[in-house]
Amino acid sequence: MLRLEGVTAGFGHTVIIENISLALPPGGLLAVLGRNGVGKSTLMKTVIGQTRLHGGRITLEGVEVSQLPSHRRSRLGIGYVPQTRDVFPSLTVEENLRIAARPGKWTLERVYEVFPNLAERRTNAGTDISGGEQQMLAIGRALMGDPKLLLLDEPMEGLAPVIVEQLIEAFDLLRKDGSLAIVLVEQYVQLALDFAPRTIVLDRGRVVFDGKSEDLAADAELQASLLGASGSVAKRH
Amino acid sequence: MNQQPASITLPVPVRRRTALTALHAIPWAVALGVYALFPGYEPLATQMFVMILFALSLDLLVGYAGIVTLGHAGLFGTGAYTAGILAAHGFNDPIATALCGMGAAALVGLLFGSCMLRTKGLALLMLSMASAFLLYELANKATGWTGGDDGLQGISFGPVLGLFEFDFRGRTAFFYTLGVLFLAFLFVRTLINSPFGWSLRGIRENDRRMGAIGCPIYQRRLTAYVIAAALAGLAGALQAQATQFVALHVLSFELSGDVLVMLILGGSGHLYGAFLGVPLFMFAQDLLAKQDPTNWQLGQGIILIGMVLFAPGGMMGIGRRLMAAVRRRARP
Repeated sequence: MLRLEGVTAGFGHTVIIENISLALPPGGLLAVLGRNGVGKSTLMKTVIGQTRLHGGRITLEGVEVSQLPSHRRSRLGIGYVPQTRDVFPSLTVEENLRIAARPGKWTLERVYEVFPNLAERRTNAGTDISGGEQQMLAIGRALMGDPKLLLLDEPMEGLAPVIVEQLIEAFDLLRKDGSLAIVLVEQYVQLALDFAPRTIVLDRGRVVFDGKSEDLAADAELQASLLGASGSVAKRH
Repeated sequence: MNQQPASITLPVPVRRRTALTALHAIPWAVALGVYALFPGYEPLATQMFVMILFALSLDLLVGYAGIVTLGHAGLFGTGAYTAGILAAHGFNDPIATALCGMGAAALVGLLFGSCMLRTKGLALLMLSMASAFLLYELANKATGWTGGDDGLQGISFGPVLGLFEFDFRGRTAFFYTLGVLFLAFLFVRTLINSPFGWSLRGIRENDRRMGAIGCPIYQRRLTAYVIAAALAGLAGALQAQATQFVALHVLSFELSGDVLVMLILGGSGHLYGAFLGVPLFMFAQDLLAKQDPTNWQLGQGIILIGMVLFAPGGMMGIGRRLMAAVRRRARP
C-alpha cells in the first residue's frame, strides 16, 4: 500500500535521506532501525510531507502523494505520531482526540479501550498528563483520523518501563487488528525486531539492511556492525 | 490496567467552571443595570456594545486563530458604509442592512484574506494594514457614494423589526445593539467550543501538527477570517444605525489600533476580554481626556505599557490569577 521509489529528501538544500525504496503491503509491519541522526525521523516526515522531496516518488494505494500537502496525505490514510508528540496544550485530552476525528473504524470509545488511561484523564489539559499518557494521546489522536498506515517515531523514548509495557500491549492490539500497516522507528532494537517481521536499517541516509527481523536478531555481529552503540540500548530493556 | 472490560464505563466528565456559571450572567446584568440606574447613558452604552462586538470578532482572530491584524477596521468600515449607503438610497430596514453589511464585509474578508493568509507574522501584519489603507482611500475618493471626508450624512433607518423606531434617547438602539451582541456572543461561544474552534487553537499552537492530522490549515484560517470579517461588518453596520452617520474614521488605522488595544487590555483568547477591555479603554480615555485634553494619549500609552509588562493576559489574566489564588486558599 505504501511504496517509496528512489526517494531522496531533506530540509532546504540539505539532503538527509538518499535513494530509499521500499514497499509495504496492507496491514504490513516494518521496523526502522539505525543510529541517531541517520535519517529515520526524516524518512517518516518525508512520508507525511514535512520535508523537501528532492527526487523519487511516494505512492499510497497506487495514488501518488509526493507533491500533496500533509493534510491531504493524512486524509488519504497516513497517521503520523511524531517523536515530539506535539499534544495541544490549550485543549483537553478529549478535545485533542476529537479534533482529529474522521468517520471510520476508530471512535473515541475505541481509543479509550486501547488506552484506558486517557479515559481517566479526558478532561485534563493536553499537557497536564504524564509523558507516557501524552504519547498515548498522540497515538490515539493519529488513530482518530482512521489511518491505513501508522508512522510511529520512537514512541518509547524516555518512558518508564511500566509505560513501555502498556504501549507494547496497545501495539499488540493494533497489530492484531491486521488492517493497519505500521512503520515503527525505534531505538529499543529488540522491541522493534519482535514487533515487525521485517526490518530496514538506515545508515547515513541510505538503506544498509532490508530483510527479515529474525535474521538480524539472530546475528549479533551484524547488529553490532549496523547499529553500533544503540545495540546496547536493547540490553537495557 | 490489563483487565479492562470490553466496554469501559467512562468517568463522568468534570464540568469545568461549574461553580462559575453564574459569572456568565454578569456582563448582561451590568448592561441592563446601566439602563435601569443611569438614564441618559444609553448612547454611551450602545457605543460600547458595538465596540465589544467589534473586539469580539478580533478576538476570534487574535486570541483563537493566532492571526494578528492591524486592518480590522477595514471590515468594520465596510459594514458601516454598506448599511449607510443602502440607507442613503432608501433601503433602510435595520436588520436587512445589517445582514448586507455582514455579507459585504465577509466578501471583502474573503478577498483580502485569501491573499494575506498565505503569509504569516510580520508580512501578514503589513498586508492587513495595507488592506485597510486601500479601503480607506477608496472611501475617501468615492465621495459620491461615501461623502468622502465629510462622512455619510443625513441617513436614517426604519424601525427595528418594523416596530421600534430609533428614538432620541437611544433606547431602541440600546436594546437592539445589546440583543445583536448577545446573539453574536452565543454564536462565537458555540464556535470556539466546536471542533472547528479547537482546530483554530491547534493551528495557533502547532500548524504542522494540525496539517499532519488532516486539517487544511489555509482553509481553516480563511474560514475564521471570513467569519470574523462578517462579525466586524455587523458591528460596523450597528454603529451606522445607532449613530445615523458614517465617518471615514470607521476605516481608519487608528480604529484598527484602538480595537487591538481594547482586546489586549481586556485579555485576548478569553471571550470576555472584549467585555472588560472596551469599557476600560473608553472610561480611561474619557477620564484622561478630562484631565488633559491635549496629551491624554500619553496616559493611554502608559496604561498600555503597564498592562503589557505587569499584567500579561490583560484584565482576564488578572482575574484568572486571582481566582487561582482564592482556590489555593480554599483547599490548603
